[in-house]
Amino acid sequence: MPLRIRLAAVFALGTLLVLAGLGVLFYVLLRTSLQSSLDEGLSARAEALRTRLTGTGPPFGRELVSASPFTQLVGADGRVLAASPPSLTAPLADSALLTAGRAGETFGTGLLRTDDEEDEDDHETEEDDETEEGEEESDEERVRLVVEPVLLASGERAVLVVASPTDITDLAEDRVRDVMVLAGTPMVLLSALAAWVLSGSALRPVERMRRQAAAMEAADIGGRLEVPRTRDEIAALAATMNGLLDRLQAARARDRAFVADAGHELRTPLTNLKAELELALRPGRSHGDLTEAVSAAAFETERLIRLAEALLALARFDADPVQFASRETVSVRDLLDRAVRAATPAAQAREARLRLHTDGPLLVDVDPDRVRQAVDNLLSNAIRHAPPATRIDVDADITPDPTATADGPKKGDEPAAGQEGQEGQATVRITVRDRGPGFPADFLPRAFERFTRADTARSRAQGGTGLGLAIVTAIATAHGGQASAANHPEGGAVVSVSLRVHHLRGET
Amino acid sequence: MRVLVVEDETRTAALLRRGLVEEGFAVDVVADGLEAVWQASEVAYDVIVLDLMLPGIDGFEVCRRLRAARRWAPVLMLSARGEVTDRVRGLDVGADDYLAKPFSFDELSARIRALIRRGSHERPVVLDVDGLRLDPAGRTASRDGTDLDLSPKEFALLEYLMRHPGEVLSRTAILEHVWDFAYDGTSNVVDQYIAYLRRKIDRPFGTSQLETVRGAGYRLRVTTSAQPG
Repeated sequence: MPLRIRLAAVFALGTLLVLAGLGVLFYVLLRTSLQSSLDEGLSARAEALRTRLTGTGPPFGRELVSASPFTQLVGADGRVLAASPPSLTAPLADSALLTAGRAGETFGTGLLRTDDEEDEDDHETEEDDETEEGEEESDEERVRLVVEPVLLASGERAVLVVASPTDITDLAEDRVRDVMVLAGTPMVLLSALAAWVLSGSALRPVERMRRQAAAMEAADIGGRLEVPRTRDEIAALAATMNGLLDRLQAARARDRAFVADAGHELRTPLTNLKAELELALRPGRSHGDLTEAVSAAAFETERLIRLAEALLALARFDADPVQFASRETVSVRDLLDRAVRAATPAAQAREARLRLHTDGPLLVDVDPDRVRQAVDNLLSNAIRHAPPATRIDVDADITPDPTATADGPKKGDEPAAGQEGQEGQATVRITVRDRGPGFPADFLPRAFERFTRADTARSRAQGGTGLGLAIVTAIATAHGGQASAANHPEGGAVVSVSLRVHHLRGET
Repeated sequence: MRVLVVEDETRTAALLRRGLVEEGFAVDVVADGLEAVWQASEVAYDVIVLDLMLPGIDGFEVCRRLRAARRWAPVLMLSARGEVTDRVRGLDVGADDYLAKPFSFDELSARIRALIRRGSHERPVVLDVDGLRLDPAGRTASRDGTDLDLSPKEFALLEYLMRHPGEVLSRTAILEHVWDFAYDGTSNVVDQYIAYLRRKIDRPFGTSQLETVRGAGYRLRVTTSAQPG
């Protein structure tokens, strides 16, 4: 059901309940006050009569006739001693009320019957009256009674019954009820209408936003929702939605840029491969030419493979950064040792020396394959930039987690044993430093972005994918750590990877 | 025929040189945008093969600067970015052809030959006749820096006039080049649009560059002897 209809219905119902509540309250109060003023009148009349009747004897007629109509004097035995008008012979009050009245002033209701003779006449015309005058067909009329004890001269404890017809108060009550119903209905309708109109104007921006959002293509989220100038919840919603769209658009722009870059990077070796093969196919090629072409093609293929692997690694990381690294306990020293040994031939080709230094075996839980990949990337970067006959330093150290050691009871006991002696959360840092030209200052902040290179042409010619450091960052992030790059004060690039690990005590 | 190859990827550059030399071209290779602008200003190349991604200034900027320096050697843009927007942008800054990587060598040399056939005559991207400027790619026109608000037909008419500055153009010729067969009116429409155009390009500036040549047609007058580009 539309919100507008629901709101209008709820408003109408609410107004109805409030009006009905107020109406009932007013009605009850009115009734009570009318009745109490009626009772006061009755009481005063009864009191006056009683004073005059007290100590008198039959026939009482004068006193009663001079009194207001509908009065009876009932004897102790329940007989009507006198009545005004005289025709009022049937007892007004029932026996229970009479009994209560003997003890003191008592109010009640009763039925006023007209006397028997008229009753018969009425009875004859009843059928006609019924059709013509509806309500007045009855011979009985509800009356308000007051019953008071009267001590007669004879010593008889009689009861004085004074009645007053309630038709005037009934009429007033009926009028009030009618007015309330007549006035209440349009008010209920009016409130429903007001709710309908107000909710319509309040919801108009919502509907407009819905249409704008619906018109937005999945492929093009460049549009924005119009923020109403109302500074209300709807404006806040629109602003929030626009913020979401901004973030989505930025993410999409990043994705697009990455795809464009990846396309560019893939096309470059493919261009070379294609050109190489086309040129080799031209007539009149010697065996030497062809060998050269094949080895060049192999080089480009190698580059493509590296690029594809790097792209796949990043795609896997993007798909699920948490699952990217599956941890097992390994020695970082052994891991680095293997990496350095594997990189040594490449380093020797450039006459660079690799030197490894670690603080102990460093038994920690990491993803060995990923960490090895990161280290390989750092080493190949360093080797690529290392001038001949220089040294490349690979260092690893561990820093216990400050919070973890604070919890441990032995913090102060073995400060010297320090890093090797404690178990728990820690940060392993692997640093690779070369003696090359270092990073250009303007490149440093972008060093870990995808497809950025300090020197595009040269680096690509040497086989750099432009993704090496981006992968290192992804691996560090997956281990709850980070990667950082800097220039050493004495020259050369320093790239380090921090990994958050669980450190195990190892044999030294 | 002498070709300048502007390519920063050394292996691609070497392959281009080898392939083109084998086809009989004289090939110079530069790897940097600024160097390319300088080299192309010094030597009258018959074709420039220009990669888009260059260190320093990119291929678009190289092309723009060459045209601004009134170097009209045909430019063939070469890019690993195959996006339509890149191609459009490349052609609109003054390139004559665009080839996406990876390309076929045979296609590259065929395109180079085609560009050489067309020659290195003046092909300004933005037309300029005595302070009246018109950019067909940006669809803007201005006189002495004041933008002109032209309808598409007025724009087309002005472009045709500006492409033949100083020439007398007959109503029939104008009708043939600016209106298509779908228009079966008379040459009155030309007079009408010439009047509209005068109201926009001449009258507000107090000039009378668009002249009526009685009995012949219309002419966009050129005062400066050398035609600016």
